[in-house]
Amino acid sequence: MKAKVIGQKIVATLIIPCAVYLLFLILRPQVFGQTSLIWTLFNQSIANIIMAWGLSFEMTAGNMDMSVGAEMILGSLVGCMFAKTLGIPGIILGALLVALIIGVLKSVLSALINMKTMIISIAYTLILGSVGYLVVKGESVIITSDQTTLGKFPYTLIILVVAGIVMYVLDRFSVFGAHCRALGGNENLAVVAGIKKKTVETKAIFICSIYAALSAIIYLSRGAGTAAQTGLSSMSTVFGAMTGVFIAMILVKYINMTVGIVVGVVSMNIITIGLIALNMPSSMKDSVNGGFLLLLMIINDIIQKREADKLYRAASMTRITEEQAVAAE
Amino acid sequence: MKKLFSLILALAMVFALAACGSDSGSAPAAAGSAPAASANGEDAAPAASGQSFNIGAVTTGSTDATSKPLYDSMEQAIKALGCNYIESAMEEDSGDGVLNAVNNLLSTGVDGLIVPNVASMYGLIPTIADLCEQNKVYFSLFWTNLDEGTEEYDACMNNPYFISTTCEDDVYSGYWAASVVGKLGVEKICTITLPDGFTTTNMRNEGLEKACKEYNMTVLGSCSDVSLTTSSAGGTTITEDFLAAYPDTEAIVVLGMSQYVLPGIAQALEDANRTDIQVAGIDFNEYQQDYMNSGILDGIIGGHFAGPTYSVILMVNRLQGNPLAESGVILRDSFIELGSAEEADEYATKIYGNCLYTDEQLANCLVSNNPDFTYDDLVAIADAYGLEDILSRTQG
Repeated sequence: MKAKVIGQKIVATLIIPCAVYLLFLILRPQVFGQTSLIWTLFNQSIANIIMAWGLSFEMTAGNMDMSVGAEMILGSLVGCMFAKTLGIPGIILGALLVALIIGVLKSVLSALINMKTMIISIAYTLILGSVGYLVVKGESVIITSDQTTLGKFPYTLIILVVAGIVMYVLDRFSVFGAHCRALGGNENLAVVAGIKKKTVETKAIFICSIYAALSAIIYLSRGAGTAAQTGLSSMSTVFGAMTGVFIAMILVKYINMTVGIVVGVVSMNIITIGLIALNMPSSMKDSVNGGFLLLLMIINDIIQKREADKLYRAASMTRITEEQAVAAE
Repeated sequence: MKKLFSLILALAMVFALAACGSDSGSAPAAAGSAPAASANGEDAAPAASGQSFNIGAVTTGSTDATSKPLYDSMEQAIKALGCNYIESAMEEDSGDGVLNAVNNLLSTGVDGLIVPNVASMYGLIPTIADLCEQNKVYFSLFWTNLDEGTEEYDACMNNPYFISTTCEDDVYSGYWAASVVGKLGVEKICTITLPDGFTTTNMRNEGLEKACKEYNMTVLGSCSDVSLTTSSAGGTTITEDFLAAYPDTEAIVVLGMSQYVLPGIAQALEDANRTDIQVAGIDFNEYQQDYMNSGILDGIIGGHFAGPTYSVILMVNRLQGNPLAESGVILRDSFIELGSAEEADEYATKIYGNCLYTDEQLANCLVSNNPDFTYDDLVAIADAYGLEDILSRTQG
C-alpha cells in the first residue's frame, strides 16, 4: 500500500514535466535530446521556484500579492549598489535588508488596513517601482563578472535546497502552514475555530519578502545587472511564479506544495524554451501557457469527478449489499 | 488609526509617483492631475524675441540610455530658446496614457505640445490633432512615422497647428545592426526583438531581412517575450535558450531592448565560454563601451535623440511668427553608429551626458536671431547628425 502511494507520488511529480518534455523531444529531438538542457532548464527555473515558494503561503491563504516582483527588483537594485563596495556580501545584504524593511512595513500595514491584498499590492508595486527608480536614478546597474558567483552552480542549488527545506517544514509541519491551508479552505470556519487571520497573513507576507530577497540574489547574479521597472511593469516577473503555484495547487492532492511548485515552474520553462527551439513567435507563449493551465484544470476536474463517481458507486453498492443482507435476515 | 495609515499610504504613493519622472528639476504631473510649470523655466535664457512660451512635453517616464538623452536634449532646447519646459509623464505606456498626459498639458494652457509615439497610439493621432486645434495649441510628434494616404497623415497635415513629426529610419537601424555581424562572415543568427506587431518592430525586421539576403544569413531563432526582454536576467535566459536550441548560432542581433538585455547576454556568453558569438544591437546601453572594449559587442546603433529638438526649433520659430515651413513637416531623425571600441569610447567620454547642440547653436536656429536661417538649414543639420558631427560641433 505504501509502495503504491509512493509510486503515485512519483508519477504525479514526473508526469507533467515529462509529458511536456516528451512532446518537444518529438518535435525537436536534436535540442531536447541533450542532457545538458535539463540542467539549463532547472537552473533557469530556480529564481522563479523560490519566488513561488514565498508566494505560496499567501496564495494558499487566499491572497494575491502582485508586488513581490517589484520587491524582488528593488532588492536586486539595492544589492547591486551594495556590491559596488562590499562585493558578493553586498548583494546578499542589500537584498535581505530590503526584504526586512519592506516585509515589516507590508506586514504592519496589512495588520492595520482592512483591504483586499490584491488592491493594496498594486499600490505597493507602484511605490516600490518608484523607490527603485530613485535608488538608481533611473539608470540600469551592473555587477562585475566575478560577483555573479551566486547565480551559478552549486550556489544556486544550495540556496534552492535550503529555501526548499524551510518551505517544506513550514508547509507540512508548522502550525502556520496549517493555518494558511485552513484560511484558504474555508475562511469563516477557520476564523470561528480561532485562527487569527491577520496574524497568519502578516506572517505570510513577511516570509514572502524573505523568499523574494533570495530570488533577487539569484536574479541579479544570473543577469549580472538589473534596472528599475516603474509603474506596473514589474508584475510580469510575478506571473511565472504564480503560474507555478497554480499548477502546484492542482497537484497538491497528489504531491506536496514544495515539489508541486518545482514541477509547475519547470514545466512552464520547458514550454518557453520549446517555443524558442521551434522558432515560434514569442507572442504565442501567453496563449500556450494559458491553454496549458486550462488543460491541467480540465484534466484535474475530470479525475476528481471520476473519483467522486467511484466513491458514490461504492457507497451505493455498500448500501444495496446492506439492504440485501437485512432483507435476507 | 486605520484611516490615518490609509492616508499615509496614499500620500506615499502620490509622492512616489511624482518622483518617477525627470530628475532634472522639472516637475512631472502626477497621474490624473494637471502638470505644474517647470521651476527651471525661470532659469531659462532670455527669449531671443523677448517672448517666452510654455512648451509642454509628454514623456514616457523612462530614463534609459535612449530616453534620457532625448528628454534632456529637448528640455535644453526649450530653455535655450527662452521658453518654459512643462512635463507630463504618462501614467501608463498606452494610448490612454498619452491622451491623459496631453489633456493635462492642454489644461495648463501650454502654447506648444510635443508628444511621443507609444504602443496603440496611432489611432489617437487624429484625436490629439483635434484637441490641439480646438485649444489653438501647436503640436509635434516624435518616434512617429506618418504614411501618406492614412487618416493620421491627413489629420496632421491638414491641421493648421501641426508643426512636425520626427522619426528614425528603423529599416536602416535593423539593416545596420544585422550588417555588423554579416560583415564578419556570420551565417546563422538569433534575434531578440521588440514586442510583435509594433510598427518599429516590423521596420527593424524588414531591415534585418534585407541584411540577411545581402549577407546570406539565416535567422535560426527569435525571442520577443517581454517578460524576458526587459531584464538582464531575461537576457541571460534568452541567450542560454538560444545556445541550447541552436548551438551552431554564430551571432545574436538585438533588434531592441539592448538597454535591458545586454548585460545578461554578455554574462551568459561568458559563462558558456561562447564569446566567439558575435553580438550587435539597436538602442544604446549605459555599459556598451565596456562590452565593446571586451569584444563581446561588435556594434550598436542608437542615439536617435535629436528629433524633438528639431521640433522645438520649428515650434518656437512658428510661435515667434517666423515659421520655417508653410505647413507641417516630416523630419528624419538620424542615428549614431558605433562600430568600434574607439567610437564607443568617444561616445561615452565626450557625448553621453552632454548636450547634442550648444545653447548658442540652438539660438542660431531662431530666425529672430539669425534671419538667414531656413528650413533647408534645419534639414541639413538633421542630416549631418552623427558621431563625427556631434564631436566636431561640441568639442570645437
